Amino acid sequence: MRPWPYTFTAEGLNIERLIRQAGEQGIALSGLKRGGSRKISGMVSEDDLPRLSELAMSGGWRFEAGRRRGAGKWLDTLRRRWMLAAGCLLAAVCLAVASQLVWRIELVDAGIYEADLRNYLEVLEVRPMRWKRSLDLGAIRDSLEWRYPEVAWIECGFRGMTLTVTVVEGVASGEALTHLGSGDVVAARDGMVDSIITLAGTPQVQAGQIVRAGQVLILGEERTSDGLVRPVSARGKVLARVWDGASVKMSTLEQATVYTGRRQQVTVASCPWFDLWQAEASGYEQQDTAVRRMPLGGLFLPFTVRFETRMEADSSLQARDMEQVKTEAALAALRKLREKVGIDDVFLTNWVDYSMIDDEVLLAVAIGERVIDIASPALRAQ
Amino acid sequence: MDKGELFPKEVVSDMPRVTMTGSERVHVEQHKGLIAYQPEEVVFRVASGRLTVSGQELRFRLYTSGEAILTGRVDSVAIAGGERTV
Repeated sequence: MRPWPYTFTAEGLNIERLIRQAGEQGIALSGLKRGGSRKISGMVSEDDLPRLSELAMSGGWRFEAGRRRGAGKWLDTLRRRWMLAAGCLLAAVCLAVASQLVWRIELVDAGIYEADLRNYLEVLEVRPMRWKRSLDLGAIRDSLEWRYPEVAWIECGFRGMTLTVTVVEGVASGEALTHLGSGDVVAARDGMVDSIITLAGTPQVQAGQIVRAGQVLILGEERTSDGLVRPVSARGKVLARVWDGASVKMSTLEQATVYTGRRQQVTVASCPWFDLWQAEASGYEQQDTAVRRMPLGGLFLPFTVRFETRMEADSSLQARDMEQVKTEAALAALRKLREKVGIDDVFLTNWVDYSMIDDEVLLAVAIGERVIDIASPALRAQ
Repeated sequence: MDKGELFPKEVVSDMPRVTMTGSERVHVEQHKGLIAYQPEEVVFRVASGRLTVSGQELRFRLYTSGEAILTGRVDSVAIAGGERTV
């Protein structure tokens, strides 16, 4: 069955008779419209087209078949332009085949291993333009991990048409402790143990105990199931309360200036190189001077008149407000403490202690309490 | 048993059935053939006489031996012989 509709035109007298006879013979017509007094056009299925054509011919009507409509139209286009269809099909096949090949090999985070890794992959015949299914990714990964034991892990995978080899290097664990020497964990500073997590070795302290810097916290020995003692590299985490302090000294006196009320006014004419006459000395031991200048003769002459007002002053040390001094000293001490321990650290609590030195200097000591890990590895002497 | 009691009348008789959708579409069932077709007038033979569809730009969306669908601007549908005008 070929359901594609075909267009047609029929021309002649009494064209309605053609339509009626077509209907009587079971031919379904659609899209019928008049194209003039003697002409109609419409669509008929491809299966009925020969019968309708024969009916029209037998009745004396002029019949002309047109083209396929709908999806059949595209079929006709493809038949006329078969090269286009063949080209599209060939391109699709080529794309499908190309996607099964490895076009590129990408090394991710290879670092210092990159050059050797490329050479080694060449030795393993892992190279571009190989079929994907011919590469055993598991075997490649195992081979690379055997060759580079320092690397934490290696991942091989396809991303599109690229073979990606990702290298993840391990993080150095610090001072290497081999089985030939054991190691203890000691306190890096004084503190009060808050909690202890032992990963290897035998703990020597417990929560609530005060420890000193250098004291062994976790011993580098373990007792085996048969009662023997074997050396190990002790590892663990010891959280302890520690206290840090910072001090600031601040004077409780300040220099104050008091005017006695005596003053002297002097007028002097001068030019940029010298004074026209000398001003007499005031005779005050201490004084503040206020100066006002006025140009003589406008801006064209370099002469000015200088008016000086001299005020006798007496300076002495006066006591500052103690609360103000304490506040300033506390802020300075806390800032200094924060700079000492680091901005990111969090204090459990902090406070400031005050004391006087010679009744003139206030000493403010800021103390902060933190909980930090004080465990530090140390090699035991053999 | 009278078939008229079990089946609709238009099924057991030859009466034409005309369905109009607004004034843009006419569905004619159980006609006996096309007598005339012009863009302004389409005439069918029916059991009771003739059925005339008048309008403008009339065209057949479908024509078969038993039914036809007309589209366009339908002004009137008349059945001559039964003297009924819609």
